[in-house]
Amino acid sequence: MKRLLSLTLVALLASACSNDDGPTMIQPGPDAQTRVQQALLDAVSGDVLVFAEGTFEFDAQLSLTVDGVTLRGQGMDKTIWSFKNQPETGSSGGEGVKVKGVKGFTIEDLAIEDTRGDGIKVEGSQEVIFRRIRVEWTGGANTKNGAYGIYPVLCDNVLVEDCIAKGASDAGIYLGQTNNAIMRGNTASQNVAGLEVENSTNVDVYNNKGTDNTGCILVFTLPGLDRKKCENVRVFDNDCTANNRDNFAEAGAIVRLVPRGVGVVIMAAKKVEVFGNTFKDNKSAHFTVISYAITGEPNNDSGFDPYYDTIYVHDNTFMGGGDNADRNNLLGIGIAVALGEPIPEMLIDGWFDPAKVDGNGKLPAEINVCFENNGSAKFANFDGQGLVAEPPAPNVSRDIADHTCSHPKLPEVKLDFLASSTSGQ
Amino acid sequence: MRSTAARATLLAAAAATMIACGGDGDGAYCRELAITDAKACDRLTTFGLFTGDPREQKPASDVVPYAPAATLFSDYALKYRFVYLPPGERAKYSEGPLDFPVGTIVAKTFAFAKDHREPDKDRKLIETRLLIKQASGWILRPYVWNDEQTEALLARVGARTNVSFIGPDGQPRDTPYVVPNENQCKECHEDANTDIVLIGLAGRHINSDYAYAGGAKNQLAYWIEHDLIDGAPEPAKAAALPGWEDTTQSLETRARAWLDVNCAHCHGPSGSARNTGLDLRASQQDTFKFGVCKTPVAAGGGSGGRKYNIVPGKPDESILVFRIESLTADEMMPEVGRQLRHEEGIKLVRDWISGLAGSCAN
Repeated sequence: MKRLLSLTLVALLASACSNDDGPTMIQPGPDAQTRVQQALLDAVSGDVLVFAEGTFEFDAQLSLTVDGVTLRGQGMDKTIWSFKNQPETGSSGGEGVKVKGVKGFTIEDLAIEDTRGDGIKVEGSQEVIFRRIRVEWTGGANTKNGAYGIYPVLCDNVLVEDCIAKGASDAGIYLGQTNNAIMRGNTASQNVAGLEVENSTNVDVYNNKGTDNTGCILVFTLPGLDRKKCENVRVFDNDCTANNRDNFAEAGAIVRLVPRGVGVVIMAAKKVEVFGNTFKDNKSAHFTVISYAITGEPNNDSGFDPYYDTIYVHDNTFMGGGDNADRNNLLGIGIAVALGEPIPEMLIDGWFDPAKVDGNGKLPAEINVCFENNGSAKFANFDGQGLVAEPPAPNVSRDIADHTCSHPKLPEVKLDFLASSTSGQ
Repeated sequence: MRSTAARATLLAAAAATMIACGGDGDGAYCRELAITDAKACDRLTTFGLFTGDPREQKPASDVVPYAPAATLFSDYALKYRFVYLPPGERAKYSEGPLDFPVGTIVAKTFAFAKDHREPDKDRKLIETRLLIKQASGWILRPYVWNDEQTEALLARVGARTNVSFIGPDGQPRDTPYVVPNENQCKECHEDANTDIVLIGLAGRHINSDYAYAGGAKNQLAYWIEHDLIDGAPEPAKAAALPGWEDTTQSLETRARAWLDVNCAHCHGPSGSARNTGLDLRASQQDTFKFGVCKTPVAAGGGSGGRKYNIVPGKPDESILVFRIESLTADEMMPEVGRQLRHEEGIKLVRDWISGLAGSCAN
């Protein structure tokens, strides 16, 4: 009985120390790993964990599985979560921070640095906010860096805003298999892909800046995944400038197929509207639409559609670029062979779904790839099918007439939960 | 943060339980208390699961030891598994995880001996993981043993230590050992609905013999005989996943059993790695779904520069082999619970892939 009493006493004392008036400030210093992980385990819904200025040294993954928790630092250059001591072996868990299966999660105003694997992965969750966080590999671009910086996957209702992602060996900010999301005001540099939307639906990507990546913004659909479609995606008012970094992704990663020097690449997606963006000095191709078929990868997924349609590209600004296609990359070589420099600003591979085209091999008007009001930007259909034939014989067309058209604008993405969210604006 | 009222209830419940159990200070009062509030149960001995010297891992008279035929690799740790059912209660049979009543406690102790060719000698207990069935579902609790081996204390954040031992192959090994934190426990024990699920205590896993104190017996038969289970078919008619060591089985059956028990709790349709589309359950018959000529999805550096998960006939070109051989975070599989290579399992998977017919594009 004595033990139980003393135990209860400890519980009472502990509770007397907690502060119901406001969140407790968690400080950097010794045992940060244990203290922060304990706080993440002990958190209850509605808790705001506030982290003081300074560098928190972690040597293993941090994880959270409690609904409705906010993690808040003092600024992305003031509160630093450094994982550089995460050992190459003897660690456990690939990511720096992992959040799973929660309804409600906000992380804001801090930095996550030098994780062994992905920076922060939020999986199978709803109502997720990444706000003003920086995820960076401080040694710069490196094949050994983690794949993704900010990595929501299999989520619903996600906001990524005003974040910075730097150095990811795949995508700086990657939205995977997610429905209803907004990515806005972010800056991505020194990643293979700056921002990527993959197999996701109802997504707005706007006011982001991508520079010095291999590619600026990717909208990809891939086979073999749980959520099969990528559609209703709007990419607008973004700035894609000088994304000419050599592709440093691990061989075997699908993102290896991206040539250096690309702006927006759409692969096998549908209902995508690209407008009001500025493309500047991307050396291979500012804007490209390709089918999954051109990758030459097998498609053994019966639920996967490798073709694109219903793409609407309008009111974009193009400057410079297209002057030096990536010849260390199959797609880059293909573009160079088929078109030669200067590469036109707007490219499609013309590889349409054979079941959807008309007798002349053209997409019907209501699902066509449409270009409108893109200034003096030039167009080419580089004939992906002809290009991958043996020997290559692309039947290139530089005539935009078949694709001078428009579609109804896609609806704006609304995140209703933000109205009831208490943090931030 | 807990309200005063709740604390009072907790105290009363604990006191009542102790009186009811005629508690001697320790007893087994947490068997009941933990059903409603496990926070106070920070010492393993308060569950009364073992009798005698804990190092012997002898179960109390009302605690049943068990072992799945196919076992998960955990750095060659010796494992001792037990289940406690509340008096008069029974599990419901399923080919998958058995359905247990509220109040059930499942325990798994991880230990290392000096020489794993003699596992009963010089044994050191590292941790015991509990799964406690509350009304709202299972909760997970890791307990770490003290140096004196007299008590294990709750360690929700996990722990790290180092272990040295001679492996079953006679090779000396020295490795960091990670006791997972509660969230890491969930990595393996969570389904798509984020409910905690059992892994080894499934009908197909325990349809195999166990060396009980009174002699070896089929576990399903033992459970039926001791009235611990409802709805179980007789063992001969029930599903069974064989042990991967069972050389009476085909190479394919053994390799698929090894992949099932080591990988499928995540790489299955409701596991935490379901986003990869890779399904390594032994029951999956679609070769693409279990990885043949399947390109990686979110592997990053984990692809090892290889194109396909499994390339028939070519283990050295198969990502799956790269990942089970790697010891580097972000490459290795499983992501948690392993610091060493499982040489015997790797050989099995390699041999199986070597014998597969066919080829992938390019």
